[in-house]
Amino acid sequence: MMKAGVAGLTGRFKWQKYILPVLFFILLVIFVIYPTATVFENSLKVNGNFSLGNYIDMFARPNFFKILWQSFLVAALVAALSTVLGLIIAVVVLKTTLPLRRLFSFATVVPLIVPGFVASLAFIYLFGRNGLISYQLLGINLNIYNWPSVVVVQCMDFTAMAFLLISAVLISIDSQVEDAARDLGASEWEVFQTITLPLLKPGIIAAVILVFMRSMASFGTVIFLGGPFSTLASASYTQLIGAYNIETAATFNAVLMIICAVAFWFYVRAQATSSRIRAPFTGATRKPINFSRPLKILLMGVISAFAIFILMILASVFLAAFTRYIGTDYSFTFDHMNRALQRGSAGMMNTLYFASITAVVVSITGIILAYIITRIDFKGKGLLDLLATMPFAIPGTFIGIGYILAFNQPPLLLTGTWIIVMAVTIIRQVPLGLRAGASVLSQQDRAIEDASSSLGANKITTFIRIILPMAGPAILVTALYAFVSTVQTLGAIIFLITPGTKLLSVDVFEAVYKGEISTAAALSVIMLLLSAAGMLGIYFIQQRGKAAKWVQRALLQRPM
Amino acid sequence: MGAESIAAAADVTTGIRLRNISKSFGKTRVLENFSLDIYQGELCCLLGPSGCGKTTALKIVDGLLEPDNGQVFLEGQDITMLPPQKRELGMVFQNYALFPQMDVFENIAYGLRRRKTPASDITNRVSQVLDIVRLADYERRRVYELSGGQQQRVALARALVIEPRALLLDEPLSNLDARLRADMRQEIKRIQRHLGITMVYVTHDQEEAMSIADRIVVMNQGGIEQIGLPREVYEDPKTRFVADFIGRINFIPVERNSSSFRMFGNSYTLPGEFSDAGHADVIGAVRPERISLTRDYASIPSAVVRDVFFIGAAVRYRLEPVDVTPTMEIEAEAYIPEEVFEKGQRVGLVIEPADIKLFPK
Repeated sequence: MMKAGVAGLTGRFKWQKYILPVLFFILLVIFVIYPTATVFENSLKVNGNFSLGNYIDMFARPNFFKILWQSFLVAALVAALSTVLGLIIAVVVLKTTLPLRRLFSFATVVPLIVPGFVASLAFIYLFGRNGLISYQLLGINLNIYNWPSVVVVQCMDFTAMAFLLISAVLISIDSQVEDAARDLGASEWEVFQTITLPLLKPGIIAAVILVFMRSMASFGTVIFLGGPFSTLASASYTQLIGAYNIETAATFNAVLMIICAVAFWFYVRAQATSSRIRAPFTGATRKPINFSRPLKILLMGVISAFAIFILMILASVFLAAFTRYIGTDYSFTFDHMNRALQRGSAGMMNTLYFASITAVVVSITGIILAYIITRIDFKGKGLLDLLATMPFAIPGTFIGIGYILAFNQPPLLLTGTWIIVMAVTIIRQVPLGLRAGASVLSQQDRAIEDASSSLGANKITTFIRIILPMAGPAILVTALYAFVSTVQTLGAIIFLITPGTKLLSVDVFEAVYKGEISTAAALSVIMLLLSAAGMLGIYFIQQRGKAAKWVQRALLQRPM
Repeated sequence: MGAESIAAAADVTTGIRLRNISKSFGKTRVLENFSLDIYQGELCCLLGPSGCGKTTALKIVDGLLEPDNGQVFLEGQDITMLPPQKRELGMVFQNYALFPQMDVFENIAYGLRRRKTPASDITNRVSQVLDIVRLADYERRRVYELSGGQQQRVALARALVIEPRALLLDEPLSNLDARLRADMRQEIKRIQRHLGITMVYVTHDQEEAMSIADRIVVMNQGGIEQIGLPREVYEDPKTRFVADFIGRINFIPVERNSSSFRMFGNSYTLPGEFSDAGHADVIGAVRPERISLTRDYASIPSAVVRDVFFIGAAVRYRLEPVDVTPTMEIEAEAYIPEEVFEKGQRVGLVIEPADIKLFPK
């Protein structure tokens, strides 16, 4: 295959340059299009016959429109609140000289390693019936199993994403433009309001849409904290696992998928418009905006409260893992951890293997795919790009159901095998790999590649000797992100897991589901540490500089 | 206001006055005890190599940087502590710093809106200033659709429309190509004359400074080397740095004694200011166009032509003087010469005593 690739890439024989694109096409059709189509097909079938029955039933359900409305409500609220918070934190961290800025930005990104269902668990420790704060400290008995809790926890989770999206834009704003406004008589507030804020618009729009999509698709928080409240994602889970009604689950997911696809379409359009009005960056140093004192105090108050909340969430997971019983007995114990290490060892090893393999495959596939799309000219390029980006817009539960339905009969009988789990974790990270690879390639000067070719190297040699080494740190960071994301994946794999292919995230989920609070906490700690190790790796590579710029943009492509 | 207005009345001709300004970034001293008067209505160029502190001085005038020490006066008023918003100065940035999310009209109207100017006034003043910069009918264009030269004009218009007390320009033409640069130079000069506005113009391009400035301030390492008319700084450089930085010049080792010095074997009278023993070592400097070449070299210093370059209206020679140790090369330029010498030819060197500058070594 490599040999055919050589000739194909040099373009001597026209048909040969299609070998790699066609190979990727086939893979993407099998692992993206086929399962997607299967879900829609199943949603349109009743007892094996085509019918609109599922949709008619669904619309006829007394609570369907309620669920739909609730999904929108939660997602819209979470999108709005997370974006406002993310904006405030980004502005404070990057545009003021207020104290503790590093701590705030650290606290804000902590949730990147805390999946929503773990945060939900911690929220119960803190505010539940026997909660540390609600009951022990304040002596009140809160009912937290309702939609506001879902909104609060999801906000905490997704603010990190909004913060990173908005910071990425904020960093690239030329402070000379703000100086120009000051010169023309704008007060500090006017500078922010008329210059900085409008220039942040692309980041804000991206944050609103992407958080909306992720909130729509997330079901862990709703299941644990929603109580009677449900959304499309959580309802599809209960339909499948509780009622084993796969057609209804497929129908719910089809609706969910359509909403996410529409949102994604808006996102792509917004990105295209905003890229046209980017201010040329001159490298002028970032300059703080001197907000008025009351405003500074207000900002400081808001983000301190937020940071404290996050750190409490994190601390409570550790507290629950290492004390006898959170809420009643605070003596130190390693019992839960021992139990977790025993019971979760299979899941842990699987998670480690799966996440590592996913990381390697995705980072290398990503750069190759990016190379094909940005450097080889062939018909259907746009389609290949679209196919490879699609998994980003697909909700986890949707792809999970798609895989069970699609791969449960020969010749692609994969249900119950590790291959299906592996396939889903890889396919979900492909967009990340592709975006990261594309941004690396777009920053590389093509003249260097041309120089290599004019010195007699063929395309494969140029790719291996020139492009790969230059993209080195970037590829490593992509791999680590894919690793961290995979460790936390739940929705996509929860339907595919069998006793033989247990993963850590599913162990945590099941422990919470069964009410084994302390074991769940101990398992979560292991999971957090795995993710944290990956994040630390990213941090150190970023500190060394090379990969820093594009990394935040790549992060936006983390799947839901 | 009282004391300040008295000061202003006593000092009508000074537009901007910098007094003993110092500024450091970390451990790097960028400006050291820097003082400068800029006259009302003049176009004053701050000229110097990068890192000499010229942009820092400009930003301190504008209020974007705060000096560590010293004071800034504008028309006699102490504005050192005033934020840029209150200074009513216009600034044109090197990269224009146009607001990318706004069209041409909104960019220019921005300063007027901050001043709560009535809408009808805004429309009038924007179209007036667009006429001045010759960009009429561009109001609704997006700034990123404009060429570099047009963006430059919008930046200029945006700064001018607020009728600033002075206009500050930070390397305004450095992003334009050579041709456009020459045109915009004329344009800026024309606007300055037309409006009679004080301009402080920062550049590292000596040709630009020479062609546009009423007065040039040559800066180096955070201090002033020389202030003068363009012609003065070229023809009568006061320091070796100025001689070297502005135009081309040959530095030629000389032998000196108490009342005379020798260059290429010829003896010249030592100028008065060098006759005291303080300047033990001096070096000579001669502009290339001040060295004339002759076919006859019998009784005068001579050199061998090593290279000949035709540069349009002039011919430039690289010459190796004969009987000079260690061997060296000098440059001579002849404008529209009657005779062009050839490579390898031996020629006579004629240098008028008045054209030799001496500097301490």
